[in-house]
Amino acid sequence: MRGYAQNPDRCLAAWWLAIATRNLVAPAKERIRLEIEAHYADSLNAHLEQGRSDVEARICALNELGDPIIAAKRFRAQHLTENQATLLKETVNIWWRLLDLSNYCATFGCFTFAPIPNGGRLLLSVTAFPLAGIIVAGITRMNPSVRLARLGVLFRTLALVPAMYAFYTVSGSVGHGLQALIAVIDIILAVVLWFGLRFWLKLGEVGDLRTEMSDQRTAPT
Amino acid sequence: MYCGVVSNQGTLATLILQNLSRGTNHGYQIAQDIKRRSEGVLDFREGTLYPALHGLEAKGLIASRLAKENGRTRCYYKLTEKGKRALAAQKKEWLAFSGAVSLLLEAAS
Repeated sequence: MRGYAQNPDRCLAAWWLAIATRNLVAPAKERIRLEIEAHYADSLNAHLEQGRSDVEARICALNELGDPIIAAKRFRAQHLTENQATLLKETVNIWWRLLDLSNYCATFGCFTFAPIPNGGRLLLSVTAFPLAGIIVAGITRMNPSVRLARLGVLFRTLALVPAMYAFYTVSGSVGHGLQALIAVIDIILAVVLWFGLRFWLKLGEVGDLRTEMSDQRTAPT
Repeated sequence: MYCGVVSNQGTLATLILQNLSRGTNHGYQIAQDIKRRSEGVLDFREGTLYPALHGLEAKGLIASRLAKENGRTRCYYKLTEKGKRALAAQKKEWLAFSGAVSLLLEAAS
């Protein structure tokens, strides 16, 4: 912080950047920092050349950057946040694939032990979505790409729908205590479904997944 | 005289693509060019420019590269082939829309 205190321009830009890039992944933060610092410096020089005082020029340059909270909202729509990057890394992790498998087994168990109309078709969807999700996650791990990652997230999210239906159907043939538990599970699955679909939409706005997920910072060429 | 802040993402994207159709440029210069060419009517506020640039890049309409200039690292953007096609389509759409609105306004007055 001593460096920033000695350099007020850097301090102002850093303040703006800290708000605008909060929670974003490191490569995105670094890229935005480079652009905003260059923009701020250009703007400051232009205002000084127009004859403004140091303080006035700084205020004008900062004002031109705009509201950092609105910028943060817009940047978050374009770049992954740290949590989302972690989630994406974890979805290609073997443990998450095992979790998919356990979801599949639990749902399959529900279908086996409960009488469900059109069970054959539903059973197919219960099997197809998690398996497709597991396969796509495996491919994405070897070849990170936005399209594959999106497809993996979509399959895994859609896998929740037949799971919810299966639990709902089973709740008709169990006691009241278990019914309440199944209702809670279904609500949790619905929330996860909502987040999953939001994440799927968000991935459509992210450009290069390799850059976003890279642990190394971008270097100028 | 009307003095507007460009906040509509579609309009902003078209203005950026049009600016980059003249050649490679960086964020600050894009904002200044648009301001100058619109004679100060159009302006950028609230951190709209860079998220819009990043969004266009994610869609493959523009490409970027980092370069050092006078000890400062800048991000330069250029239009891609896909961007050129998108610009042509957006221009056509905008001209048709603005033409229709003008006709209606002129007829009303």
